[in-house]
Amino acid sequence: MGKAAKLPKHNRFCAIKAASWFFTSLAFVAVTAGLILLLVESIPVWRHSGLEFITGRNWFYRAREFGALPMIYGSLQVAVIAILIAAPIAVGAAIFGTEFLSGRLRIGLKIVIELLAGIPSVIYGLLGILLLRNWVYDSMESLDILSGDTLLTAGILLAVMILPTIMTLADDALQSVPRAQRMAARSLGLTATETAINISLRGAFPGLIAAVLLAMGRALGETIAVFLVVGRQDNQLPESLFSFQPLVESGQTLTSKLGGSETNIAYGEPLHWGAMLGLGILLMIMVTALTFAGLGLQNLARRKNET
Amino acid sequence: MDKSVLRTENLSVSAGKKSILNPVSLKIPGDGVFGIIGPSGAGKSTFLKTLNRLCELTPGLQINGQVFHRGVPLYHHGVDVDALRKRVSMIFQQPVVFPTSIFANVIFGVRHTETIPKKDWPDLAERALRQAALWEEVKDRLKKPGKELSIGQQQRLCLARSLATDPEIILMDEPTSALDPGSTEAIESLIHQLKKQQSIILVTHNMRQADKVCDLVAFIGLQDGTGTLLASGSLDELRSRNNIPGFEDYLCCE
Repeated sequence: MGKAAKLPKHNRFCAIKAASWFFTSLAFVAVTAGLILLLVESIPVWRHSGLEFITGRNWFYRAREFGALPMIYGSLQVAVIAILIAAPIAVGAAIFGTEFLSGRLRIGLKIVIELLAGIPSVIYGLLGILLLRNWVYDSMESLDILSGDTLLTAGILLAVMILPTIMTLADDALQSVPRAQRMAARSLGLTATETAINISLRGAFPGLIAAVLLAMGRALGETIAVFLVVGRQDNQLPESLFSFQPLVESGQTLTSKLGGSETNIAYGEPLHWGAMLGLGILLMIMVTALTFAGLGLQNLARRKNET
Repeated sequence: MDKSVLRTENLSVSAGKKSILNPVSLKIPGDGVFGIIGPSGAGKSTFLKTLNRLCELTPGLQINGQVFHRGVPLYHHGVDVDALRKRVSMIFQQPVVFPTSIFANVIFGVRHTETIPKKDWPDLAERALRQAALWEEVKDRLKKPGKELSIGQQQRLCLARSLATDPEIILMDEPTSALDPGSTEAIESLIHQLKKQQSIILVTHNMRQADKVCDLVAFIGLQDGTGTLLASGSLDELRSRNNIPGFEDYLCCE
């Protein structure tokens, strides 16, 4: 009896296992096939421009000139501004939450922050147009700026959007530092602040860097909100990377280019279409590299705190 | 004249409505090793952590009553709690080694709480490690991570870390319960050495250990699920009394 009852259960387990294997591989195959298709479709532009596609400063599709550098610059610049603004605030909030708030308040704060992450990005974009654009225009007037649609505006908007990502990942990183270590430090006479700096921040450091990298990946990939406030001005590559002026000019990011109507125009013309897909591939590579670096660091941090 | 180093007066601990420790009034003399014995879950560790106000860091615990350190109340507005914890240091059940080098572990407390010049740190570390009987084993690898040490060595490293800040009292919360017999032996003989300079308050539920190192003990048992101070004195004294509730059971089950 017992044996007879066991057998169907075992079979059911096998069926579930087989089905999950099947669907997992299906998803994997579908994504891989899609990526290969993207690569294949982008071949014309690589044939036409070669590495010039990455290093070229000009994009004039009617003249069959495809240089992605200004957009790579735009994407990185916007993401870096976002990180520079968001990281200190978000990490600071996470430290405040884990080190100085009691359990229930911390959870409350975390829920509120995570709700912010659930707001559709187009809403952020609209808020950016409504609030940020004029503010940037007014406050940067002395720099002779032409409009409020600038790389800086997009960066500030992105900072607000990635704040929850950094904060919640930083919170996880800080939480993974064992409580016993904080207690040991306190029992040696360190103050709460000294403990936060020398135990929590130190122990969580790789995890905090991971949080920033993952958030930067998100910032690079964000499309619609950036699209609405970045100005979408092609071929804006400054002479010097270390001047502030280019930041308060309109620019173009990889995502804002791909989100625009040029993508629809390009479809049907193999070279132009290939160039657009090439931008997509560059974006993918950048985001994937950041994500892998972030996840790797997270694993490292976890192992460090376990042993 | 009150010669006790620590004295509690109606000190009780509760978590919300649940009482964890019934009021304890106890005098702890400054010389020798004071043991706190009793069954697990009776609140021995909690009691220990009230003595340097470390239990305040556990959310949800209410502490009532008073602790006097050489006559000075500790639960009082204006007491510098961080300075108190430096004088009344604590060793935990599981050794808590920070993820850094052996050397950095030893001077951790000194570095962050005192203004001793950096050039004096090596001497200070050596002194503390010698006191903790660890110097000979680690003197050639001070820059190696503290976590590479065996668990018994880690506990002595924690002890060295506390000793480096020259505490007046060391609270030890079952410091050998995670250790092998050899390491336990090492810690016990260390306690013998250290009690000449420091007051030691030791929580243990190992009677053999209590017999070996404690001069006086307090027995905290459970009454209706709440930790209660049931007796204190020398162990022989406690054994000769036969009216201590739960003590017989505790002895035979050990």
